[in-house]
Amino acid sequence: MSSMTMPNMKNNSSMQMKYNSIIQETLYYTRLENGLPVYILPKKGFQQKYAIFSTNYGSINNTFKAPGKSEVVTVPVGIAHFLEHKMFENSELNVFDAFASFGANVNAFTTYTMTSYLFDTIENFPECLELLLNFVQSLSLTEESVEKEKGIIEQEIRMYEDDPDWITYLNLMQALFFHHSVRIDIAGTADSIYKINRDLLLTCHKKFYHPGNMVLFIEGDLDPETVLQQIKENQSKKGFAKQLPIEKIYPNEPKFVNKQRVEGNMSLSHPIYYLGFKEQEIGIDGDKLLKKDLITGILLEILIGKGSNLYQSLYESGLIDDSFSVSVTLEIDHGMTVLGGHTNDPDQLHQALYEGIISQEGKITEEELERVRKRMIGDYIVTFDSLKSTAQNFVSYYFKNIDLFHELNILKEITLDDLNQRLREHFDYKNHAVSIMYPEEK
Amino acid sequence: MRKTIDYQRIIIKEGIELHLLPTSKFKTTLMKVFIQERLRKETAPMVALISYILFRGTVKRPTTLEMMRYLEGLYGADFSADVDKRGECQFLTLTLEVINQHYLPGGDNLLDEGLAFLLDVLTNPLTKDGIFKQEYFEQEKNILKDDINSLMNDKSRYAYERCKQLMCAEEPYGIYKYGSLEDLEQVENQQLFDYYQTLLQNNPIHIWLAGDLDIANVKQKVSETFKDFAPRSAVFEPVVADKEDVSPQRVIEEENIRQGKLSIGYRTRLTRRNPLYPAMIVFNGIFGSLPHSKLFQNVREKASLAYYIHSGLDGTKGIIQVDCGIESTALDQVLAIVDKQLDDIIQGEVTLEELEFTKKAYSRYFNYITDDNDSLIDSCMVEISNGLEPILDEFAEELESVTLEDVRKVARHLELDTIYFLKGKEGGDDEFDDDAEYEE
Repeated sequence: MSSMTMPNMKNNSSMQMKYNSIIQETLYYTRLENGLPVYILPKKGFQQKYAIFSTNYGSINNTFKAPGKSEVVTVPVGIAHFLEHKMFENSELNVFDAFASFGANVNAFTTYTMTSYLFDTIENFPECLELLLNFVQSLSLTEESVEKEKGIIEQEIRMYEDDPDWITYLNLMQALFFHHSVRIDIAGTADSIYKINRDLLLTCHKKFYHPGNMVLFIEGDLDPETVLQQIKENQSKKGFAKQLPIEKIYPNEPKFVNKQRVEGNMSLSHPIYYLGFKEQEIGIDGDKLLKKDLITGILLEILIGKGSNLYQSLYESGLIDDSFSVSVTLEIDHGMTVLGGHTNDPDQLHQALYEGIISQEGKITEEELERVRKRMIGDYIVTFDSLKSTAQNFVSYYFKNIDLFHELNILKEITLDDLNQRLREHFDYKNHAVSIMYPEEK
Repeated sequence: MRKTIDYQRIIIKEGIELHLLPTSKFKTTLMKVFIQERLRKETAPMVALISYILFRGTVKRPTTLEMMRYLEGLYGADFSADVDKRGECQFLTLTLEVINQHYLPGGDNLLDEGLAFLLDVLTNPLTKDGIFKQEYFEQEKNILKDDINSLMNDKSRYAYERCKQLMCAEEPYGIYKYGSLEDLEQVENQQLFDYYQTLLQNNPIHIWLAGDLDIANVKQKVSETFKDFAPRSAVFEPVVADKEDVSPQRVIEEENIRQGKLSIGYRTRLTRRNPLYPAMIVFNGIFGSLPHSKLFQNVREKASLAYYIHSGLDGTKGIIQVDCGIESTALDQVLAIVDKQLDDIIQGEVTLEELEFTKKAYSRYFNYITDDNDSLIDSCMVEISNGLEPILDEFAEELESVTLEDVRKVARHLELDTIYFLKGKEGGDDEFDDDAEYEE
């Protein structure tokens, strides 16, 4: 198949555009003087209009050097998420009410690597966009309101602590990693959040919410030029000076795993089993990272997807059920593959699963690769029917310097050799760890 | 219906209906089949089990592996089989989504193949000696047992279901969508297969397609599949029982958890077909379903007692449930705040903004339905199962005309039925996992 991407096509505006002929979508983009990248994807015929404003700052960025400074700053864990909560507070207006008055929905979320603010609406798009830019780019806080938020966030942490899947996953991160902050819940801990104060929040906002560290992505039945003009006017009034990049400091994480097996007990119906593999090659981005991500995705589908012999034999022997899932995380500074779900026999599953995976080296066929490749093409196209999925994929790719429109071309390049090499390197025994959660005894 | 999308309802024969939503807006075409059944203790796990077994194999493709590989060849056409509960009915639901022709290299037409696959799964499951393949029956029965048991793993979901169950112990609505373990234990293969045949022959079947359609062709394929099927009723009555005398009950149970899960159930005696239904939606928005709602503002933003709190509405049964996660010691405080919010609405202490924000939020919500083929079909099916024609456009207007007085009327309809609280065990707090020690 031919997926044509035409970058840098000039039109008569200040924006550049790219067209992808398979998905039949055109993306408009530019970078403002203050450093803010703006991307607009028109969606003809859709009622919904969607904007997401994200900063390249997540829960793992607790140690950094401020731009132009040599001093290393370490802040309490959970601060990026705490900040996300407090951004909705503004001395001049109630952000939720303001969006509600325009008929819009507003939300935000924090991941290990980024924080995003978004709204969706049918009417009053320009008013909502103005509001989004303004509330995310200013922060006014009182000590009192910071204190009040602690009770709410503590309840959020407690909620996650009662989620056995999440706790089993978090235990696995603690087995795979020695120092890296992916070991810790995105919201921090019930202790760490009480160390957060107004000054720390203001500092992190000032450093990490600079336009140069963010991206704005907009979708809907909109005229890109009109939207861009509005953004330019809004940004030019704010007088952001260019900021040097912030140096994020990551701990010196060994390549090997911390522990190969961790266990716990919770109130549960039957055990949860997760198998993780720690990524060995760190520091790559762009097409190279995307290709590795797609290779891993195809490989896992062939090895243990619902269309694999291994999945079906584990299912038929009662070792796995529909809760079995696979996730691939490849960030610039860390990565892991996680497989697992509910099982009645974690040890037997572990043996059958691990042996089933490594025994496939050199045995994958062209036919399997083509079948799964087709499926991945389908999955990619389907994403563009949902504004929300498109937007969230876009921003998470953006901070890894990945172009969302490159996916089909890169999918096309993948060969059997790529799969076999990845299988050998990534699923090596020394990279693995297991986390098991057993039902507690009554 | 909104004019942006056409709608056609075609009676294949009485009780077997084809609903078409032709549109070129999406990159995919979505197909859904619903078979409706009344919620009953004995048959609830059977409907669920059939939905599981149908994914195991057909005469033509006798294993899941062959089915999956076939679907992967159709660019990963997404297939699922499940069971939903709405009002006092169960819906066995099969779903398939295929990519539209003009987005595919070579212009493959997946619609025909997809539809044929879906109808084949529904009507030609793999059988041996006149029953489901025994192996499949046994494996899926075990999987379903585990799935019923695993409800307890999600404690807030568990509290929500437990509240319904306690509230409607004597009504079909109290039955879990997968039925109970005890009733599942009783199910035998022969009995299940016979029941599957009666479902196909007696129960309402609704087939939906939304996307890029060749209407004449779809109609012909569906008619052909059902040519030997008998006519039957088009829909079952969505609700058959309603407890008359309510004396509020409070049930508290303990688990080894970090956060208590509270679920409060109210009866309203108002359902989809009542003229106050639009006001009920607005009431629910003012009360607890949105970020500007009274519950969120007062329990979370003002009192910092919860991270999540929301109210949900089952308009088919006429029940409103409030759910939240709180410290076990905060129960009475939270209940008092919830009570006060309801009372405030009854007293008319609702600002013009609260009313307007809520109407705008739901107007947005109903308009979005046409942006998403799945919610489009589901919302239309809710209307059909309530004996109505899908009329999203008019509904938006009805919502607009709701007054504060209407909202107060709804609020006065709320009867507290059940307070269910799953609380943490005292002293058992910090022992759940030694390896989960957090770093600082």
